[in-house]
Amino acid sequence: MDYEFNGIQIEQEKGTDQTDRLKAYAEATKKAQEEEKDGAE
Amino acid sequence: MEQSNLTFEEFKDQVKDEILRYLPESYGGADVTVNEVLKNNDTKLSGLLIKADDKNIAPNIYLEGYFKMYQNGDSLDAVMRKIADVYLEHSNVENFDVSEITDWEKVKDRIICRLINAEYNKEYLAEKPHTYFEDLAVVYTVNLGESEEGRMTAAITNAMMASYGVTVDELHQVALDNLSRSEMSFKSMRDVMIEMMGEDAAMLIPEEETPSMYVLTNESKIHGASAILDKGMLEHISDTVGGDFVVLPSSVHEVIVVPVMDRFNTRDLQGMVHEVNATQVAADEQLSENVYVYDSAEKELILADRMAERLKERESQEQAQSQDDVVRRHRGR
Repeated sequence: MDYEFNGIQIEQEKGTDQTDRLKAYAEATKKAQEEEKDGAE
Repeated sequence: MEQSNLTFEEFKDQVKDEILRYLPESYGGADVTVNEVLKNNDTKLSGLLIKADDKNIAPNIYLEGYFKMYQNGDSLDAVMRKIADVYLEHSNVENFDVSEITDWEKVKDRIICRLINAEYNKEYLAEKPHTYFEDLAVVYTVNLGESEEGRMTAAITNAMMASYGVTVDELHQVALDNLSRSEMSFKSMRDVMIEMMGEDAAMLIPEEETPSMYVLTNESKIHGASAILDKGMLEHISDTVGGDFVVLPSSVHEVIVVPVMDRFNTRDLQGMVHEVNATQVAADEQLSENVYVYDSAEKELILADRMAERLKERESQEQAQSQDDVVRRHRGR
């Protein structure tokens, strides 16, 4: 919950689940590596 | 109360005018307002504030989610009851000790860097001291405490900085010093994925002799992209990966480090960042669409486009040098 104190915003910062975005990067990298390997062959 | 198809503006007015009827009588004299609150990437939220006479701090209840409940069929009455319940649940906080954010001596060791996109945050930056870093901006927050629910912070405004009697450069240096003393996390992507997904991740990323990707963040994984501001960490990464490396701005919470290899060009990586931002990262958590490269010769992290220009310049200097050497050798015969 965020709060307000005399016009100053007090924010409750939360991290988010990194899984989906990191998985997307890992999959995209794997695909790029495979394409590179296929191209080399 | 009869249900009708209110617009968001009408909904906000209704909540503002009626909410006290759902709270205990002791709130009769409370001041009720709905204010626009600016969050990261200039995301605007409508915050309901109910200020009781005896409190100097009040919960900010964002109304967008409640309007969705109303649009999805909940009666206005039910939504009002929900808002009142949430307010009462969070209003029992002690009065805030103002010196926690106004006394420089108390504040200086708790200042944290937050790295955000400069272009996406034009409005947000207008009232906050900031320092540009390529296409990004560093803003500063005071850490008011951490719990399982997250970290409470207050973003430092121009007015707060003026009251501290410090300049932006001094604020920046204090924040960087605090960052260098803080816990950061630099792990291979495989290790991070295994921590999150268990052994399923092993299928996705086979064991590698040398990791092809790493994740850099802070201990709390909250606004951890700011770890790239720590020069010591950048040098440590360079030593680990053996020279230059690419930084992909995964989100405001973490970045991905890719050792520079021949098989990737930065355009491919930029496309990857664009794709992941568009499909996997919430709008208010996106950091950038650009890719960065650490130039180990200069010990500096810069935009990949600037690095490409720098490499061209170095190449032409080397060519000129080698032509000079040939001429010198020829003359020396």
